Amino acid sequence: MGFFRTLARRLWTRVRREQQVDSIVDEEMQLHVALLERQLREDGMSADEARLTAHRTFGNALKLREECRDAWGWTWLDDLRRDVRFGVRALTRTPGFTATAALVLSIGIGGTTAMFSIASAFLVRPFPAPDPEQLVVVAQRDEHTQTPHGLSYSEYLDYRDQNQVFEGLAAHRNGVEILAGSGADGPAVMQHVSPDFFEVLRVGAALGRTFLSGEGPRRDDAPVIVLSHRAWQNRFGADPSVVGRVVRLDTTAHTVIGVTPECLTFKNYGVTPELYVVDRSDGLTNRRQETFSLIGRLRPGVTVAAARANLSVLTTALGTEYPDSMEHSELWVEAERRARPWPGLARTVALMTTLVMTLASLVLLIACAIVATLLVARGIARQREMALRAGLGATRPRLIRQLMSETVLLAMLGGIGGALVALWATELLSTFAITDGVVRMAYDVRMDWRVFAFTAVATTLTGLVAGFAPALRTTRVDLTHAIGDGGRRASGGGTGQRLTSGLVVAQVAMSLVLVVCAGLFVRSGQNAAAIDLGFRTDELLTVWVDPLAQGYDTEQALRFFRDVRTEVVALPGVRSASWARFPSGFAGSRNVATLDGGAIPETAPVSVSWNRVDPAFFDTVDIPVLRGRGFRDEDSADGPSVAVISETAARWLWPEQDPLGKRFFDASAPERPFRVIGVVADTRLGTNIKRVPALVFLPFGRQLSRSATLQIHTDGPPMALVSAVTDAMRRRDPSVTLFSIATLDQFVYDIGSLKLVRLGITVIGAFGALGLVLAAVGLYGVVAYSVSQRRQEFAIRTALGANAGGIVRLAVGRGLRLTGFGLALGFLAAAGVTPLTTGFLVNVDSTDPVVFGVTGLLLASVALLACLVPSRQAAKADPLAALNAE
Amino acid sequence: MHRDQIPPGTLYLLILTTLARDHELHGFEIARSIQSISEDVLTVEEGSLYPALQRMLARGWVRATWGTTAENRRARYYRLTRAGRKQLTAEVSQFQRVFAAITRVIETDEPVETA
Repeated sequence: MGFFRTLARRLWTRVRREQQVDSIVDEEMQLHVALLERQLREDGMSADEARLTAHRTFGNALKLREECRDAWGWTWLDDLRRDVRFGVRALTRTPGFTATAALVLSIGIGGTTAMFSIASAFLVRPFPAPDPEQLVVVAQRDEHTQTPHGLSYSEYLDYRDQNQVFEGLAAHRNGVEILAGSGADGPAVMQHVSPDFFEVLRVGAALGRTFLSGEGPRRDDAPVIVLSHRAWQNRFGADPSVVGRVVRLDTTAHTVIGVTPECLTFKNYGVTPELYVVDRSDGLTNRRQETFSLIGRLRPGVTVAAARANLSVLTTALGTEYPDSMEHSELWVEAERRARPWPGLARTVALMTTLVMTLASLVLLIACAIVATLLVARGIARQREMALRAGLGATRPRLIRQLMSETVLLAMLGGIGGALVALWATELLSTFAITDGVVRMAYDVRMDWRVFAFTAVATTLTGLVAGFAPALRTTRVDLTHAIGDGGRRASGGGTGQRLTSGLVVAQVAMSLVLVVCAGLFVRSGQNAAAIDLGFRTDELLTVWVDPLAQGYDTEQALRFFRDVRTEVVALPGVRSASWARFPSGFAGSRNVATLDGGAIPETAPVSVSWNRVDPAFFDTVDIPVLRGRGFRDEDSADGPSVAVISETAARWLWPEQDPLGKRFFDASAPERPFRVIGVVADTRLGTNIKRVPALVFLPFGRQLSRSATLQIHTDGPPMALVSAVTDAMRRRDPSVTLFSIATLDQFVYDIGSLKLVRLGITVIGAFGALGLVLAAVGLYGVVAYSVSQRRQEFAIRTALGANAGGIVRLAVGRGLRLTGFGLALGFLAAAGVTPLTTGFLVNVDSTDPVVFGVTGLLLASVALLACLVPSRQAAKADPLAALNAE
Repeated sequence: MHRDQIPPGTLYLLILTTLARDHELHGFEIARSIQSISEDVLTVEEGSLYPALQRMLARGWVRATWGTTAENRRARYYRLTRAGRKQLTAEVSQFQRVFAAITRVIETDEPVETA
C-alpha cells in the first residue's frame, strides 16, 4: 500500500505544489547557508571567507534544487523498468517453461474473454444512443408460453397517449419486402415504425434526415424511407447523393430521405433491419393485429418499476374500455438491456452466459493452478538465488515483487495469446445466427473495448493469483541453510509439497466439473438427434417465395402456386410437392377457443401453433392421418372453414372426446369457427424440440398470407434438383424472387433449439476437452516433478533391493490419492454447478448418474496414465547415474 | 561523485536516527547533528540533505511544518511520521543483515584456523 500512498502524495504535489517545492527549498537552503556563514564567522573567519566556504560546503544550490524536484518525480518507473528487465531475463533463461505456461494461460484467458464477449453483447454493452438507461421495451406476455407477443397499433396509441411515465413511446415491427432500384436488389429486412421512432431513440441521421413526428401514417403522404448504414453501404455503394433517390419496396415507390449512423445497431427480436419506413399498412386500425414491439424513453427520474406499475393500471383500464377485444394480458416492461434479445429470453441468455462464464473461469483457474504448480517447482530450484539476493540486502517484499513481476509478465504473454484466441473464437461465435436465408437473428458478438478491458483485468488477476502463493513460498528462505547445502535440502520442503498437492486436487475437481457439463450436453445432443420429429426431413427440398409482395393479386398468386406445383411434380426425380405457409417443423401461433363442449372458453383462449397446407402436404412430408381425412381441393373453396388438428391439439381442446366435427375459433375472429375434419399424428417444431405442440392445420388456398414454401419430396439428394426447380419457377415468372432454397434438414437443424444444443455441445464440449487435457498436463507435471525430486530416494531403494514395481506403486500412489480427493471434491462442486444447465438439456437430468460415473472413470484413467508414465521412467532409471547426478 | 562519500541510503538512516532522537529539527540543525553523531567521519556535502528530505517527504517518512528559530527566522521543521519510525527499524535491521552477510562471506572465504 505504501507504493500507492507515495504515488498519491506525488500526484497531489504535482498538481498543487510543484512551484511551491522550488520556493520552499530555496528558502530553506538560503537559511542553511546563512546560518553556516554565521557559524563560520563566529569560528573566526572573515566575512568573505565565511561566505565562500559556506557556499562550497553547501554544494551547487541549482543542481540540488533540481534534485529536490526530482524527489517528487517518478523514480518508481525506474524500479518498474528494473523489475521488468529482471523478469524478461528470468523468463528467457527457461524458454520451455515460459512457452508452456504462456500457452496454458492463453487458453484460459482466451476462453474467458471469448465468453465475456457474449456477456458483453447481451448484458453489458449499452444501446448506442444518448442516455440508453432510459430506454424501455414493452411487450405482451403470453401466459401459456411465457413468450412475448406484440401489441396492436391502436393499443400502442392508447398507451402512448395515456401513460405518465414516458417522454416518448415508439412502435415498430419486423417485415420483409423486396427492394428494387438499388445497386443490389432483393428481399430486405424492414422495420415499420411509428413516426417518432428515431426521436424516442434520440438517434439522428448520418446523412439527410430521419422521420418527422408528424410524418405518416396517412395514406396520402408520399412514402419515405430511411436506410441503415449497412444497407447504404451494401446496396447503394455508399452513394453520398442517395438522399432523394426513388426506390421500390414491393410495389410502392419510396423516396430515400436519410441514412442512420453506423453505430445504430438496432435489433427487433435479434433481427437487424436494413430499411426503416413509417408504417402505413391497413392493419393499423385493427385492434386484433398484434404485431408491434414498443420501445419507450422514460422521463428523467422515473424507474422501470414505476413504468411497469403505470402501464399495468392502463392495461386494466383498456380492458374495461374495449371488453370485446383480445383479453389484455400482463405487459412485459423491461429496461432495454434486460430485454435482449427479447423479453423472456433475456433470463435464459443470462443463465447461459453465467454457465459458460463459470465454465470458462474454471478453465482459467485450472490454467492458473498449472502455472502455479510450475512456479513452485521452479521456485524450489531457485531458492539458492533467492537466498543470495536476500543475503545481499533485498527485503522479502522486494523479492516477492520481483517474482510477481515475472509472473505478471508471463500472464501478459498469456493475455496477448488469449486475445488472439478470443479474436478467433469471437469470429466463430459471431457467425452463429438463426437464419432462413433472408432474416438473420444474431447478436454482435465482437471484441470491443470492454472485452479488451476484461482481458486486461483477467490477465493481471491471473498473474497475481498464479504467482502469489509460489512467490510467498519461494521467498521464504533460510539464509545459511540454503546457501550452505547448495539448495538441495530445501527442495524437500513440506510446504512446497502441500501447495502442489492442493493445486492438483483443485485441478482435478475443476476438470471434473467441466467434463461433467460437457458430458451432459453431449448426452443432450444424442437425445436430440434421437428425437423423432414426426415428419420427413431427408429428401425434402423447400423453396420460399412471396408472390404477393411482387405485386400479384390473390387470383394471380393462386394460379402461380398451382402452375408451379404442376410443373415441379412433372420434373424427373420429384415424387410429390406441396405448398404450405411454413415448411414442416415451423409454425405461427394464434389464440383459439372451443365450441361444442370443448375445454377452452372464449375468455381464456390458448395459444396453438398453426400452418396452412395444401392437400398434398401430409403425404409429402409423411405425417400420417390418424382419424377423419386430410384436406381436399374443395376445402379451399368458400363455405364453412375446416381444419385438421394434431393429437395433442385434440387432447387440449376436447379432452377425452371425439374431436371430429367439433368446432373451434380464432379468438380474434369468433364469428368464423373452424370444423375439425381430421386428426394427424403429432409432430414437433424445430424451434423447441423438447415440447410436443398443439398444431392446427388450415387449408392453404383459403387465405393467402405473406410468403409460402413449396416442399418437394425428391427421389435422391434434394440439392440435385435446385436448378431444375428454379428453372421451373422462372418459366412461370422470370422475375420471381426465391427467398431461399434449401433442404428441410438444413431448415430444421439450423433453426431453433437444435442449433442451441449444438452450440452448447460445441462450446461446452470444447471446455470439457480443455479441462481434461489441462488436468492430464497438470497431473503429469506434478507427478513427474515429484518423481524427479525423489530420484535419489528411488535410487537408494533400488540399490537396497526394491523392485521396479514397488517404485512405480510408490510414485503412482501419491498421484492417485490426490486424484481421489480431487474427484470427491469435484463431484460435490459439479452437483452445485450442473443445475445451471437444466434449461438447455434434452431428456437428461442435470445429475445424470451415467454422465457423472463415466466422467469420474474417464478422469481417473487419465490420471492413472499421467502418473504412470513418469513413474515408470523413474523406476527404469539407472540408480548409479541418479546418485552421481548431484 | 564528491557528494557520494557516504554509502547511498545511509543518509536516510542518519536523518531518521537524528529525528528519532531530537524529535523536531530544521535542516541546518539536522546537518549539525549528523556531523556530531558521526564525529565528522562521514562528510556530507551539506546541501544533499535537502533532496534527501524531499524524497523522504514524498515517501511519507517525515512531515514538515513552518516554524520560527530562536533568532526569530522562518524555518521548516521536520519530524518523523509513524511510517518513518517503521522505516528506521527496517533500515537498521537491513543494515545489520547486510553487515552480517558480508561478515559471513568474509569468514567462509577465509577459513578461520583452529588450534
